[in-house]
Amino acid sequence: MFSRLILHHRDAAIGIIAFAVALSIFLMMVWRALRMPHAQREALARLPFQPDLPSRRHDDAKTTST
Amino acid sequence: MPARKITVEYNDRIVRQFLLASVIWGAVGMLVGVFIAAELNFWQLNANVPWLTWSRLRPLHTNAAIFAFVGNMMFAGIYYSTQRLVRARLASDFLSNLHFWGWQLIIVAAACTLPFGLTRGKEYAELIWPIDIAVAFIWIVFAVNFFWTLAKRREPSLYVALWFYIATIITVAMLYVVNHLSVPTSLTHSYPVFGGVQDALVQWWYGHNAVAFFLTTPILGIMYYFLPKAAERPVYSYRLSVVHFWSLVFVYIWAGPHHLLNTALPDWLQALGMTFSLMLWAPSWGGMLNGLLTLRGAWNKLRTDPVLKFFAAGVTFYGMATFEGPLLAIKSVNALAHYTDWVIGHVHGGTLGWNGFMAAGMTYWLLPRLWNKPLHSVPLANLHFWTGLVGILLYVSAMWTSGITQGVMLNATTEHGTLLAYPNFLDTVNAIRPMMLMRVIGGALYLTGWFLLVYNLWRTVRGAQPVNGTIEVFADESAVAEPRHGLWSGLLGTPVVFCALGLGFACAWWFGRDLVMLFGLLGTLVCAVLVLAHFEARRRQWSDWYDRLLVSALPFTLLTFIAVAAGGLIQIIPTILVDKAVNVEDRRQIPYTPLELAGRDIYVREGCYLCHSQMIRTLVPDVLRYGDYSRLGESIYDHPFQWGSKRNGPDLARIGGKYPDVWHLRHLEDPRSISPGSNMPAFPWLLSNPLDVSTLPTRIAVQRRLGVPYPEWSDAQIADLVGAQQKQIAGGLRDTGAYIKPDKEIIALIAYLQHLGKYETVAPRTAEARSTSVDP
Repeated sequence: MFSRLILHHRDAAIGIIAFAVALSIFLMMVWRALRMPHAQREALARLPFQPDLPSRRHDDAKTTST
Repeated sequence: MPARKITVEYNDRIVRQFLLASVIWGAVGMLVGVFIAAELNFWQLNANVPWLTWSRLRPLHTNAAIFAFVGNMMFAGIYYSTQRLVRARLASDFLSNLHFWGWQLIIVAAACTLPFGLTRGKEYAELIWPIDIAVAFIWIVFAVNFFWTLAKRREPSLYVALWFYIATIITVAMLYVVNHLSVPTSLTHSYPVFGGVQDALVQWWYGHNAVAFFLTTPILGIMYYFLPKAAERPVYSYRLSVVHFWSLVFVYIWAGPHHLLNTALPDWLQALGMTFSLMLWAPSWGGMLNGLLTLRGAWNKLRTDPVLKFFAAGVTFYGMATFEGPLLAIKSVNALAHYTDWVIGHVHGGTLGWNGFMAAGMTYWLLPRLWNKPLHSVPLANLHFWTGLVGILLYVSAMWTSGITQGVMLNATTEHGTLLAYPNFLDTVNAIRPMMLMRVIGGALYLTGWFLLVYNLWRTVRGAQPVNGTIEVFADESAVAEPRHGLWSGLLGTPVVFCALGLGFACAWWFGRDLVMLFGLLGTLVCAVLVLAHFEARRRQWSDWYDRLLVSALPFTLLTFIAVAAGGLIQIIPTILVDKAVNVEDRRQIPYTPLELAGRDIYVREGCYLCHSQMIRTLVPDVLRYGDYSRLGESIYDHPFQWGSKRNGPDLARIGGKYPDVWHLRHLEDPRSISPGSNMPAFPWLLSNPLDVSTLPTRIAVQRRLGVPYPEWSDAQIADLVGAQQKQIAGGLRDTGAYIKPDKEIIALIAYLQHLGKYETVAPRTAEARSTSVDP
């Protein structure tokens, strides 16, 4: 069923169709991301800032030394 | 009963190990890089020692930079951030240790094999098959350890950095396995299962996405964790980071064919590669701006903080490299830039500027925290930054200048466009010599900066007490605070079902004929209408599915895998399934004789493909310089393909018969005796090494199994064929006054070179003829 792919001119359409499929899925994800509630965004963005004891110790040490 | 608190200790030992390994291997990889850059200026530096020769060391440099330096840095960053983002210790200390020591063993094995010519002959995929199996195994260990940790997590939400790590793990596994499929002929040698154009496509699907999913997505995950931590403020826009992730995952995987523009690759694939490469501009710059804007309000800290300096410069280099990449993927720009130093400048801007600076920033940030001691010297770290920055800027500007000079000179024709303005390839080599020297200086400066980091690290770590991070959690705390998808509810959610249905109908429409095509078209339209109707009626259901997906690691991983696999499959499957001996336009390659095949293996062993392409592009200057453009069928039996990606020397696709045997002999023995001013290394050992023909029968048998039309020769017949051709070539050389024993490697290599460009003419079967023929 792929026999026409290399030689047939209409195969150029595959690129366009693939583009359209990827774009539509991508747009769905973008749409979902844009509609993400503010509180949820804030909570997710703050995930890296959960306390980590030794690093706090280090930061304290640095603060007191300066 | 009141909840009981317990203290969880993170496994930071493994982070320290990977961090130190990254710093050490980084120094080694960069040192080899500076050395081989110097060899391009001073060919004598190899001292006629095979394993010190440029083409043997170049794979060592690239593999060390990618897999040893960035690989170890990536593992350190992933393990550090993942534990903290999921509030759980790594799932298994045993797997962590196995991962670390296994990976280092692989690096050592690579360093012990590549300089000795044990290679598969495919860029960034050179490692021989036993090491490949080890890589796949250790990657699985890494994946199990990572996903097991996710399964044990106490934080239900998956921060966006974890998404990037997931995409990295599954995509690299897929790329690596497919591109390394080989049939062994001995413990140290194999032939890839793909050949010719298929091999080229699979190779650059892998090669491009190794950059995307080994050198970019994990480092982006690291950026989204470490940059906010260093700037002490959340990421500028979490929404943008989500958009960044999905767009990279969907778009990156399609862009591989842009490495093969203007070649014999089918045109629709070239169009696909170029289109998706251009689409990458937007998400890449979105990600870069998100990183830089995270520093809003903290820019004043850059004056004194080396960590932020490195991060800011690293992200800027990411933006620069991802602007340049799509630019180079435009066909007309690529016609000028491909095979030149411009591409070398581009990849070093990415590797040294983006990966290297992010690695340095992460290392300086982690050192005090992992050893609980302030950094030995902040001024020294700042000095590292400025030394490295000047170094990389010198490097990339030299390579841009060099590449554009090369491209312009090689493509220049006289005013009527019928003659080359610079017919001698060496004219371009001599024109770019100052830039090649500048590259050595730039690289050496960057390396000097790295040694400053090594010293700073050593002084910081010396006498310090390693410390593991801890966190207090409730003993009965579990991550199942939010509803999650099971595997099937995630995979069979309404959006996925509609997506699969739509794709199924679309495939019937694209590939089917007559009624099937009509059925596919109608089905696609009906599906589109149903999606809209269902979405309007069950909006809440769609939202819930997506929200649950964000906290469900397994379905999320599988859907990401499907997204990345689709892009590759649509490109690769058609070229694999077609009857390759028929789809060859008007020419078909004549298989090599046994001696020529042995010569080809020597060509691959010596890494000739790293300087010489075998692909005359469909461009007037290429045709004027090297002969008729290369057809798809002329390399159809090449396992591996040898189209190359860089021309430090001229193309060899039609070198066969262009010069007499003695020309090749003298040229390989001492290139400057034939081409004064050449910077090609001499290969004198080929004149003294005896040719090993003991494995030839096995190699021919494997080639036959892969589809190369060799007759069923016996071992004795193969030996006779080899002997006869050896005597013929050696006799011819003797007649011209060159005395070489017939059983030397040089004879086989000459036989191979003289075969290049030989083909048989065939009548192409057109699409129309095909459609009228009866398919079984």
